[in-house]
This record gives sequence, structure tokens and C-alpha cells, in this order.
Amino acid sequence: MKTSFGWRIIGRATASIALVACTVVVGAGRVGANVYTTSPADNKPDNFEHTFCWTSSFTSTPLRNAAANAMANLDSQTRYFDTATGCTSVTDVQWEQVGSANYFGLYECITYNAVGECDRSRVTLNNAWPMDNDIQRRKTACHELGHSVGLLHDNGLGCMISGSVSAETSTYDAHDVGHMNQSQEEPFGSVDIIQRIPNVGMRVAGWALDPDLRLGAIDVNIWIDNALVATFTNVSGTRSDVGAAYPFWGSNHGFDAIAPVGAGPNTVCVDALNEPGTPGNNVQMRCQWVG
Amino acid sequence: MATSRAVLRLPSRFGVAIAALVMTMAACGAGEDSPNASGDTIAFAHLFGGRVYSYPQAKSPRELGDRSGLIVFGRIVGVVDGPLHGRSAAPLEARPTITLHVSVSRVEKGSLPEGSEQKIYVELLRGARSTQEYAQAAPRQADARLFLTAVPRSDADPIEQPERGRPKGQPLWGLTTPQGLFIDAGGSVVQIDDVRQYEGASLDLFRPSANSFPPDSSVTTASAGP
Repeated sequence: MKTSFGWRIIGRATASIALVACTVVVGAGRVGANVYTTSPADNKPDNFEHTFCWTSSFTSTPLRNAAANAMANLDSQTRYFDTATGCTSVTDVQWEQVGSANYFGLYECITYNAVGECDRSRVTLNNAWPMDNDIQRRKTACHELGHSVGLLHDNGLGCMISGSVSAETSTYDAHDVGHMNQSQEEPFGSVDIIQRIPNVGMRVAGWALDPDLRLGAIDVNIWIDNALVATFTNVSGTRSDVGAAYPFWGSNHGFDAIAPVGAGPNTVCVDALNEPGTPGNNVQMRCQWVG
Repeated sequence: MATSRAVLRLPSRFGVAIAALVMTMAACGAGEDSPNASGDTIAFAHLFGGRVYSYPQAKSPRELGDRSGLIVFGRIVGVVDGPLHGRSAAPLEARPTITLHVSVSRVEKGSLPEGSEQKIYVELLRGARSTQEYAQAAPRQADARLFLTAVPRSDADPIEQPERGRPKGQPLWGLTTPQGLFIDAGGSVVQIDDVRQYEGASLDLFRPSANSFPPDSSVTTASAGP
């Protein structure tokens, strides 16, 4: 695991930092605001830790057994790992039941995070017809849990098929497992400040992480006018807002440093670099013209 | 519609134009919450995204109709807060609903309750959105067909303000299955469940006598646009 934060300058080095505001571009990556998806398919969870709880209404023993089976199966078949918690405002899945409904089960995202991932969802199981046997209960619990990690309906061999079943269907097929295990591989983050500091350079600040590293630090490349001018290595500055929004990833993914720059105007681009040897690709987080 | 003699006495060409305008305004109706809002079918449907139902699907409009107690053709004219499923004292577990106010132009199965004044009230889960968002996006100028049954209720499920969102004494309806709301989108039809858009379809293809839904090849997940 990388432990130090530094930066490499490619080209002319900078001198001292004079925080004189000149041309400031503030990023839109503030953490904590709700944004909404535009498709029912975008129920992407925020990380591989899938916390869950039983609500006070979730009292049916057969339904609890089906839900417990589904959580354990998610854990064993995929990179996700389930953690039982009390129900809070950031619990990934809260299990509920209703006494009568026109459905087997229902998945709903209740709260989205700043980057459109689902922060909290509920799975509701019907405690009456047509949910009247354990095979259907286990299949439905598996099915709804699959939606909570971004799966759609399919016609495969696993529990993501729609409708009723008469044979045991409480696991995910290989296709779905592949999707679930690949959903968290790209690095991501936010560039919050791009600021020209006269006689010093271009201040670039934000945060970035690679889900494959969890708490570890990655590098960030700074491009100015299509030339790579700096690499911020092992970005691990403390960002408590990031840790609050993503407790699984932690707070230490921030960067705030100076890249060399000539006379303006300039186009500044910032890339988060995928950790070598792990799935995923580099991601361009922001490109901005600075006058 | 205006009935003033003053309107009808205008020179004939103006009289016809004004009469046509007034008739058009009357036919369109005024939105109950926002008289000038027309909304957009696809934007409205997208508000229901982020939820996925698993249920015994009807394989045709005919089957959906057979399972329904009421089928109406009309327009959504308002969206307001509905009953709260659960307890307000347990906000993490509470499930707010919205009540659609639907102006009925044609009953295709069943009958409207006494005192309805050609309106029915339909319950849907509110989800992550606000009631105001639904109200503003409601496609008040778009025709819709709704397949409905009495809202299922259980003594085991607490509910607060069960009468909220509709006139006293009027029943609350629910979709027969999550499929049961089809809205015209001008050259296509949108089913809010899964935000399914049937390209090139009209609401006529979803009449209760139809033996099949349009083919899957015509179905997309409606795009929210740029």
C-alpha cells in the first residue's frame, strides 16, 4: 500500500506557493448532494460492501430466511460482502414486508449520492399470495437483491428471471456474476479546484480513488494543453467529506498541489490513474479551460 | 365552454375561431395543480425509475383487463400527496405515496363510483422524488389508459392519513399490475413500469380486447434526453 503523497513535475519545477486567487474554476464534485438517475437500470451501488438490516416490519420467519439466504449467496458468489447493521440513513438494503400486494417483491432506491449511485435502498417482500412458497420467496429475495447491485431482468438460468418459478432458483448465473464483479473497477473522484496562481503555477485540488485498492492511494495525472506536465503520486490527503460519503473507502484520497504552467489561456485536464495490475482503466475526471 | 352571447355575435370568421379556441381549451382541461403545465410523458415516466417490481406479468392487454376491476381512458390532471404507508414516527421505514387525479373520458370496464364527477384517484409509491416533481412533470395533455383494481390493504400494514389526496368518500385505486399505466408519448407509448417505451405504438394497441402487447423489438428504455 502506498503511504506518501508527492508529485512529479515533468518539465519546469515551481517555486513557493502564493495562494493569490487569480482565475479559479471550482469543480462540481461536492460530496453529499442528491442527484437522480435517468434509468431504472442505474441502481448502481456505491461500493462492494453491502450493508443490510431488517426493518421493524420484517417479522415473517420464512421471508427472513429467504433474505438471509440471499445475502449469504451474494457474499459467496461475488466480490460483494454483506454486513448486518441497524437500519440507518445509509444502509444499503433495508428488508421489509407487506401484508398484501400485487407483486412478489419490489426494489426501490431511496437515496442517491452525489455521483448518482444508490446510497440506500429497500427491498419489500410480499407476505401473501402470490409469495406463498419458499422456492418463490428465495428466488424473489435473490432477485430483488440483484437489482440492488445494478442487475436487470434477464432470461438466463439464475434468479434474475422475471415472474414465478417452480424449481429452486436462488443463485445468480455466470453472466450476472460477471457483471456484479466488474461494476466497481474504474477509479473515480472529483476535481474541486483548478486555479491559476500568478508566478507559481496551476493549483489543482480534489480527490481520487480506485475501488480495487479500497483505502490505498492512486496517482493523478495533470495535462495542460495536451501535454502531461505533472503526476501527483499516492494522493492521500485527508478529505473528511469523502470519508463521510464513502466510509468504505475512507478519507485519505485528497490532492492539492501545483502543476507548472506557461502563459494562459490553458486547457487543464485531470486523470485518475487505475491501479496497475487491477481491472479497469484510467478515467478523465475533468477538463477545463482556464483564462 | 363559453356560452356568452357576446362571443357568438362576433363576425362569423372571428366567432368560429374563438369558438374553436374555447372548445379546444375546454377539451384539454385545466391541470388541477398547475393550469398551465403540460408536462412530458417520458420525463414523467422517468420519475418512477429507481424501482423494479417482480410480479406475475399479464401477457396481453386482454389478460390485464381480465384481472382489472376498472379500466379507464383519460388524462392525469393532478398529482398530490397520498396516504403514508407505515408510521411517520419511523421515517426510515415509512413509504410515502402520491395520488394521481385522473379525468376520465371513457370507462372501458367497470363503473365510476357515485359522486366521482368523472374523476378517479390512483395510488402510486412516491419513491425518491417529491410530490411536486411528479405534479410539475405530469403530462396533462396526454391520453392515458389505466388498468385498475382496489388498492390491496392488510391489517398488518400500518397506514396514516388513508383518506389524504382525494375527496371524502371517493375510493383509491391501484394499478392491477405495475404494467397498468400506459401514457401516450406522441408516436410512442410509455409504460411507467421499467420506463418501457413502445416505439411507433398508439394507445389503441393497449385496448382491453388486444390479445398481445406490441413486440419486444419495439421496446426501449425511454431516454431522458440531453
